[in-house]
Amino acid sequence: MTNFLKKKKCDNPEEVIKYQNSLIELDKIAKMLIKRDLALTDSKEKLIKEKGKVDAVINSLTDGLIMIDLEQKIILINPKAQSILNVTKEEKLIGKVLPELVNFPHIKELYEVLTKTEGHCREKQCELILKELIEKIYEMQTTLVVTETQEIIGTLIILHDVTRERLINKMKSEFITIAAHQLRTPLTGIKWSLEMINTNVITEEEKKEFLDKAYQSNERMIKLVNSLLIVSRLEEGRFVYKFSEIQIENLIQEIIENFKIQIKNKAIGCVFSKPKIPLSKIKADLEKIQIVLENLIDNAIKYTPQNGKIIISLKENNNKIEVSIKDSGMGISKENRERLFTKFFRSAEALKIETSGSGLGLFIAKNIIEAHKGQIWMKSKEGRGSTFYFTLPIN
Amino acid sequence: MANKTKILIVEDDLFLRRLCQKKLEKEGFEVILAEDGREGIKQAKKTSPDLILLDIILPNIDGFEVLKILKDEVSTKLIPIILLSNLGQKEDINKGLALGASDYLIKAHFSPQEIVDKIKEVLKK
Repeated sequence: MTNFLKKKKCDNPEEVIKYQNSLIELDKIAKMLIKRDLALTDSKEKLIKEKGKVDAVINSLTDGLIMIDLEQKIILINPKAQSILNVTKEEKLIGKVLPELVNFPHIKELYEVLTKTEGHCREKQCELILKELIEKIYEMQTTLVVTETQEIIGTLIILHDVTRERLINKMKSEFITIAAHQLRTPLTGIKWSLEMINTNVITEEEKKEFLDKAYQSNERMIKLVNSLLIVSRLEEGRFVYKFSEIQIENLIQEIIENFKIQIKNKAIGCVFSKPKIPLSKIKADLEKIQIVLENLIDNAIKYTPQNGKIIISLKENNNKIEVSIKDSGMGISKENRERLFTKFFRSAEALKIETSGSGLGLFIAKNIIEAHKGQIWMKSKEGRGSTFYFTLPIN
Repeated sequence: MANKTKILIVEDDLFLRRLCQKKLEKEGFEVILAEDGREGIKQAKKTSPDLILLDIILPNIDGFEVLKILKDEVSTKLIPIILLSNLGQKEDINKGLALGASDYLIKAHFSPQEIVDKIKEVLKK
């Protein structure tokens, strides 16, 4: 082009200027074009980058995300949604119509929930329950996808796992039901005996009996409230530990002394076998370990029959102290052993002997021992007794 | 004395059972006691009581189950049963009434006298 212009420029000076101007003009345009081209490439790269970012966000969402168009064709599904709906990555779901995917049981269920109320285009929140090994519950939020020009292009479905929340709620309400029941029972005893005493329909002897029992009910109530408070503090993690050096054999000796009357009343032979040389001191929360020992020894006395035997032993090895409390009660059946340390559980065997227990003692003991990095377990022979063990580390 | 009204109390708590028994005896009822579900069913069949006071949380067979069994059995299905429990959730009450209980009383909300009044009321029907 320049050659052509050069050739021309000799003929006419006016033309030369004209051409020169054109040349400048063209140069400008060329530069602009190059610039625009560069900018375009740049924004294309930027766009790809942006899309990558959005994809990454969608792919790493912890909620399942599915978008369908107006024909119910899947146009977007993130990995979380695929895993929720139990479909592998290899399944090409994009472009397929929801109602046709009935081969996938979870997608079928999703579609059923989606269409249950007046078509899929309504914005709503409902629940999707998927039956798996453990039932999974999802909150399903559907939202219309609307463009800037107010055009509806599809529906966005968000699946949020609420299985755990639901479980906690259920446990909470179960706790309240059982706690209310356990608290009402001793209260009923107190109420009924007070009325019986007050209405004067009973003999002096009966009056004394009922007063005695009412007193015991009240004691039971106080113990239960204390246990419930301990449990609630344990569960909130507010069970502050005050560690001190403990000589555990002295503590056990003291507790046995406190149970002297109960042991004597049932004519139980209680043996405390401790090693001849003093055990190492342990660093533990005295008050809490006392609760554990009291619970275990109280149980042993409660479930050992008249003239039975209790053996409390101590061992030290592998840098820990092991305490065992063996009773000669009725033992615990295999099926009940697993649930023994869970909250409010009471074995059928225990219920037969004592219906008034709270079902909290072993749960509390387990929590305290585990907070001390120890272990608690039991062995039992049906009809012949149980032995409860726990260990506490030496520092 | 042979035609005293017979009441079967199925209650696992020793103290509550004793109090209830005393009150009903003072009121002139004949009282039969059972301390768990299995014993409750056995006594209901054996003694054909005029009314059963039935607790829900019981060793071996729970009160709902006992209620169901007794209402399914020809010889016991006409015996009025009053559930007397400290479970007080709406679902428990509805479940009990749906299974055929004549009434549902929350122990802690009723005094022995009020329980007797309820028994008399149900027996009149």
